[in-house]
Order: sequence, then C-alpha cells, then structure tokens
Amino acid sequence: MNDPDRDLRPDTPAISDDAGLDARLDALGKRLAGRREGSVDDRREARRTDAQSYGLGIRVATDIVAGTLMGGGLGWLADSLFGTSPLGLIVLLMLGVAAGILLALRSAGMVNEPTMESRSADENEQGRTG
Amino acid sequence: MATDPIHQFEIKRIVPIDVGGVDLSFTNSALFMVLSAVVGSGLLMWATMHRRLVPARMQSAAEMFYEFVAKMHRDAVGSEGMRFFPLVFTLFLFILMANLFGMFPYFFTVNSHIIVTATMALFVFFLVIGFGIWRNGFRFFKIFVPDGIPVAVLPFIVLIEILSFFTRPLSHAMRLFANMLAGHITLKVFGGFVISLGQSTIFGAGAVSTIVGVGMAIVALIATVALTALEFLVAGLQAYIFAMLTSIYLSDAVHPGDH
Repeated sequence: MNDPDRDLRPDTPAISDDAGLDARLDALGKRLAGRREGSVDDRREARRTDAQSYGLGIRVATDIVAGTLMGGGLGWLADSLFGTSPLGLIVLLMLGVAAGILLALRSAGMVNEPTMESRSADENEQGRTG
Repeated sequence: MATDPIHQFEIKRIVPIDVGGVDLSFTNSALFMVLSAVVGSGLLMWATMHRRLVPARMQSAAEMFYEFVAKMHRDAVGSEGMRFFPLVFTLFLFILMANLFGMFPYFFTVNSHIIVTATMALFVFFLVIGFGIWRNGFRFFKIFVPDGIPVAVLPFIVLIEILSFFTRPLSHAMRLFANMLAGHITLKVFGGFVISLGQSTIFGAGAVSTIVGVGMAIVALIATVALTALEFLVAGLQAYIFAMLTSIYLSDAVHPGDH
C-alpha cells in the first residue's frame, strides 16, 4: 500500500509501512506525553506541594508554640500550687520547649512516632517520612 | 463600630434557654454548627441519592471526597483503623463546612472559638488514651519509653515524651483556632483599611492626600481579595490537617508498633 504521508516526512524510514507507522505513533506518543507532563500535571503537582509545605510549616510552628505554652503553663501552675517559684517555671518551661521541638521534628518526619514494641537499633535510625 | 475586627466573633443568643441556672441558649455559634452539620451531610446524601453505577457530576464529586479522606486515613492508620473512619470523615466534613460557611460575609466562624476546636481535640485525645489502653493494656504506656536510649538520660526523655503527648491536644486545637481567628481578623483589618482610607480622602483637604489615600485604599482592596483567596485555601487545608492529625494520633492507639 502507498503511504500518503511519505513525501511529507522524509526522515521516517519507509522500509515497512507497519514499522514506519509504529515509529511515528511512538514519536507522537512521546511528544504528547512530554506536552502533558509539561503543562497540567506539573502545575497541579506544584500547587499541591505548595499547599503541603504551607500546612507543614503551620504544623511545625504551632507544635513549638504549643509545647512552650504547655511547659510555661504547667510550670506556672506548679509554682502557684507548691510555692516553688521560680524553679518550676524554669524547669517545666525548658522541658516544654523540648517537648514542642520533639513534636515539631515528628511533624517534619525526622523522628520516629512512638511505638509500643521494641525495635532494633538500625530501624530506629530511619525517620518516618510523610 | 463596623470596622472593629473582633466584633465578628461575638456570641449572640438567638433563643435564650436556661436550664437550672445553666445558660444553654441557642446562639449564633450553635446555629452555624447545626448548619454545617446539616448542610454537609445533606449535600452528601443528596449527591449520592440516585446511587448510579456510572456517577453523575455531584455523585462523582462526593465519591472523590470520600475516597480522598479514606485514602488519607488508610495511609495513616492502615485497614485495621478503618473503624475510626466515620469519626475522621465526620470531623473533616464538619470543620470544612464550618470554615467555608465562615467565608460568607456576616456569617459566624465556628472554629474561631478555641472552645469548639478544643472540644474536638480533647475528644480525640481521650479516645486515643481510652482505646489504646482498652486495646493494648498497659503496653500502651510503652509509647513514652523509646528504645535504644541510655539509662542515664531515660527519665529525662520519658518526661519529655509525656509532656509532648499532653501537648498534642493543645497544638491540635490551637492550630485550627489560631488559623481561623487570625485569618478572619486580618481580612477584617484590611477591609477596614479600604473604608477608612477612602473616608479620609473624602473629608480630607489636599489633592495630594486624596491621591495617596485612594491609591492606598486600592492596594488594601487588592490585598483583601488576595487574602480572601488565601483564606479559602486555609479553610480547606486546616480541615485536612485536623483530620490527618486525628488519623495519625489514632494510629498510636491502634497499632502495637508496626508502623
């Protein structure tokens, strides 16, 4: 059979019509895939990761603030209950900041979530992502 | 004043109810909670009413929403934790609807009051403790004792772990509350700028001050529009984060440690 497009595409090998058609279909598929990746999916992906980063930032920020508030509040409460001012505030505020940073690191996936079962040491090294 | 940025959070009694000295009035906050719950579930029921095998537009949207939340929950807790999926889905839907209702002018934003978000966060907190102990017994308390820690610093670490566990509901509640409160105050303040800058140019004297005032009012208006778009993002995102953290916290109670 004659290939009507042959004159228009001198670079396409015309050894066999089927092979030529396959090659051109492949090229078209690649071009389309490239165009699709370049446009809609990329933008959607970028928008999603923007929202995710915003969410992660908010999470980390509130974790640290909440830890500090919790420690400060408990310290103030302990001082006013037991009359240990200012020792309780100092100790519990520092512990609260540490707890907040631990929460923030967990939110960022850099420290393992707490578990009830024992784990081997090398498993402990890998932080949980996501 | 109309431009008072705090005025919008005022609780007003709509139907005063008094039960034995306890004020149980139906307030504007309660009204919007009921609206969020009714409109949220009503919308989903209406969308899935026909139960077509090939879904129409609304049913398709409802199914995508369901699948989205289900995937998020399953990723965090696993199939075993799907018994908590109705709770997570309800929280997500309620918070999302309440936040979106808050975006209407003159509407009340339920989640801008910390008592509302704290109630939800504390419910999740006590559910995690209760279910964790019921399911795992005293093994649940092992989550406070990490492995591979030298004995010398272990008491210190356990103290921090316990404190961080009790900080979680505070952080959980505060995040949603602070985002909604701050966002709506910012919107109101920038909206107020438009009015006050515009007014100052009408009653002001010089031509220069008029040009500067109108220019700044236009900048404030553009900022208000941009902030409104941001608030819509925050409304959805905070509902998602609240539900996702609920799933993550519940996974502590469900899983004996196979994360």
